[in-house]
Amino acid sequence: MSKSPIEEVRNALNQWFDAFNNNDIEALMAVYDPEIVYANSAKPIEIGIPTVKAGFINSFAIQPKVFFKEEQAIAVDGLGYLAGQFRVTGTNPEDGSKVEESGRVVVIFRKNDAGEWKLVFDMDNRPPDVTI
Amino acid sequence: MNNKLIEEIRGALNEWLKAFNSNNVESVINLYDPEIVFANQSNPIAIGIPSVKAGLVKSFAVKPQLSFEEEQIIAVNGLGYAAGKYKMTGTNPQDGSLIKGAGRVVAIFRKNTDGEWKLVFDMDNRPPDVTL
Repeated sequence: MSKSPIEEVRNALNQWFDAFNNNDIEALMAVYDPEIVYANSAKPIEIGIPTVKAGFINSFAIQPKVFFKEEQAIAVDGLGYLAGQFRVTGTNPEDGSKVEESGRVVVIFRKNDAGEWKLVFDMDNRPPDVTI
Repeated sequence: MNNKLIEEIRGALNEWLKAFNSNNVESVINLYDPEIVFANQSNPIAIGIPSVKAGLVKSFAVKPQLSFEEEQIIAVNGLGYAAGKYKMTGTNPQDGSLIKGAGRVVAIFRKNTDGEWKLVFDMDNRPPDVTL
């Protein structure tokens, strides 16, 4: 039995989490749509896989792990998204101190011609109500 | 890329901007999906039309005016979104001083059973590459 679009999008996001938490840059990039727009709250917009890849190589210096709590999920055939709270933890490579930040994020996935869901838009912010 | 659907999403967003800039709460609220999630940078998440409406009523005290510059737009049957930069101006009702704000936003629309596009997710942030 085929999965619903929401389940497929959740699977795609879990694939992204596995790659991110393994700090595996090539596996992570395999989850992206060529037209990815990464709208991070702390840095200028990043458009396209090469730009996003460069940013994540820098981010992996702290060996980050991410946790996620879903707040909304909507998907139809071809496009879907998940929104929720996230927390990233890592280790400062210079002094070994703990690095931690949390916020809210939305990730939008688009299905490509091969039937694979790819991350095409990613935005986060830092609101006052995040408890994760 | 489905240009007809993209124009429909642009039309829905422009209708929202027009209603917002008229500071007409009822007109704005008519454009929301019942499952609206408003993930604002500065406020706790607002879920559902009553919560979002209460926030809008407060916001309209400064008679805000919004402009939008599109950076990405994608749509399929039933779901689509526009992301880009926004600028906001308003007037402090207590001293008449000018209020300004700017950031990045994503607005996701879902088509209802009547064939109308309704705003179902709205998130913004304040990245360093968007300036007044």
